[in-house]
This record gives sequence, structure tokens and C-alpha cells, in this order.
Amino acid sequence: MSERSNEQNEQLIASLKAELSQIDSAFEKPAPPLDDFHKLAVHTLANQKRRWRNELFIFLLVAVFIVSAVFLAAWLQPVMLWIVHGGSMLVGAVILTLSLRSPESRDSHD
Amino acid sequence: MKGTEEEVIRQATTGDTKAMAQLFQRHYSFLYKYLLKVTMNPSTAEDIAQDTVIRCMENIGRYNGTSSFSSWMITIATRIYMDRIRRKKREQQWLQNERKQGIRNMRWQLESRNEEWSDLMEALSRLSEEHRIAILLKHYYGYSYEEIGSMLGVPAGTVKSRTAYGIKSLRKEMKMDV
Repeated sequence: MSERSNEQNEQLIASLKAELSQIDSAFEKPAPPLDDFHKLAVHTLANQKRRWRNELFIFLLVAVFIVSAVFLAAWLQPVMLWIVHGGSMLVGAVILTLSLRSPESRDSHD
Repeated sequence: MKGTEEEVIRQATTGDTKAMAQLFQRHYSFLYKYLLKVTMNPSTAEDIAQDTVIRCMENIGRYNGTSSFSSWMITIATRIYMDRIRRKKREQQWLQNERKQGIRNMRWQLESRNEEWSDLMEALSRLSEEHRIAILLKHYYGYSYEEIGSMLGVPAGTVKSRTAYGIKSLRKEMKMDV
């Protein structure tokens, strides 16, 4: 970049800084009162705790449902459960092996 | 309650709501002014400043002190603003109107103080958000390219090229030799 161009950049940046400082002083805005921030903090933290509690509750509910379904299946149809489990593990292993042996996969590993 | 910045931050990160209030009140003005220059719209700046304060309060425990508290706040504010822009990308017309309205407000406010809304500010407001933010953070707030990169989640080289392109566009708009 030429010296003249650098000089012009510096000139532009200097004017930019001056204009932006002018905006800063023109839009001087006092912060809301401390009490408002305090109320907001209390409300925000309480909301967050409530959200976490709800999410934990939903997680536990879903987990209990899944575990009960598995136990129920094991109790009522143990053979069927093992077939489904074994089958899905076998399918997973086959897919993994095939994907690792495919030419695209070999190319990406090389 | 008055305390040193570090002490107040330490108390706030442990969930002390009084310390949080004090901390955010101290930094609110800085945050608002930063957002004003980024958004070029006083009401959008205020909206995003409020969202930022809430987001920061929720995540205060994650603040690890590697950057200053104000840098952490403006990082979050910038991300909230960029998310909002991305979500509203389809509403181009609405965004354009909002931008024009914001600039009218700012121009009016400056003129009411017998100050001028210059061509340079007009040109800056016409830059894309990404270029404007890069220029502001680099040349007005004095962050390094690496710091800006980590704030925006992009490589330092990208920030450098955004800044250079932004300055070049401004020079073009101002009809300075390019």
C-alpha cells in the first residue's frame, strides 16, 4: 500500500474516532437505578432455576419411561428383547464396518 | 455496597444478586453506547442491551476473567445482535426500514445538539454489520485482530480482511483516492 494511501487511511480513522466520540457524548444515557438491576437479577436467577428444575423433571420422566419400557419388555418378552437388542447391535456393527471399508472413508483417512 | 471491580465480579459469579446489580449498572452505559454504534439505532441498542444483561446474568458463572468484563459483555451483545440479524434476514424490507428509522433518530438527536450527522457516519451506517463491527472494535475500541476474532468466533485473518474492506469502502464512499 502506498504511503499516500496509508496517510489517507489514518486520516479517515482519525475522523471516524472523532465522529464516534461525538455520538458517545450525544447519546449519554444514565444506567437504570440499582434497584431495577437487583430486581432483574433476582427474577433472572429464579427463572433460570425454575427452567433447570423443569428440564431435570422432563429428563427424569423420559429416562424413567425408557427404563420401565425396557424392563417391561424384559419381563414380558425376554427373547424378543434380546433379538431386538442383538439385531440392532449387529446392524450397527455391519454399518460401521462397511463405512470404514468404503473407498471414500479410506481416502479421508489417507 | 461499593467494592473493587474484581471483588464485585467474584461475588457476582457466586450468585450474589446485589453484586450483580452493581456490576451491570456500572457497565450498562458502555454496553449501550457500543450497541448504539453497532446497530445505529437507539431503540434496537436498548433492546439488545437489555437482552445482553439478562444473558450475562444467566451465564455469569461462566465468566473466567480471561478478558475484561466489558469485553465479555460486548462479545455476548455482538452475538445476540448477529443472531437477530440472521433470523430477520428474510425480512429485508423491515430491516431496511428499521435501519432508516434508527439513523433518522440519531441524526435528529445530534442536530438537536447543533452537531452534524456527517457523511462519514452515513457511510459507516451503510456498511454491513460484520464490517462495521470489525472497524469499531479495531479502530475505536482498540482490540487486536486476534481478540476480535475470538469475540466474533472467526479467524484473525477474516477480521483483518473485514476491517481493510470496510475502510476501503468508507474511502470509496467519501470519494477519497482508493
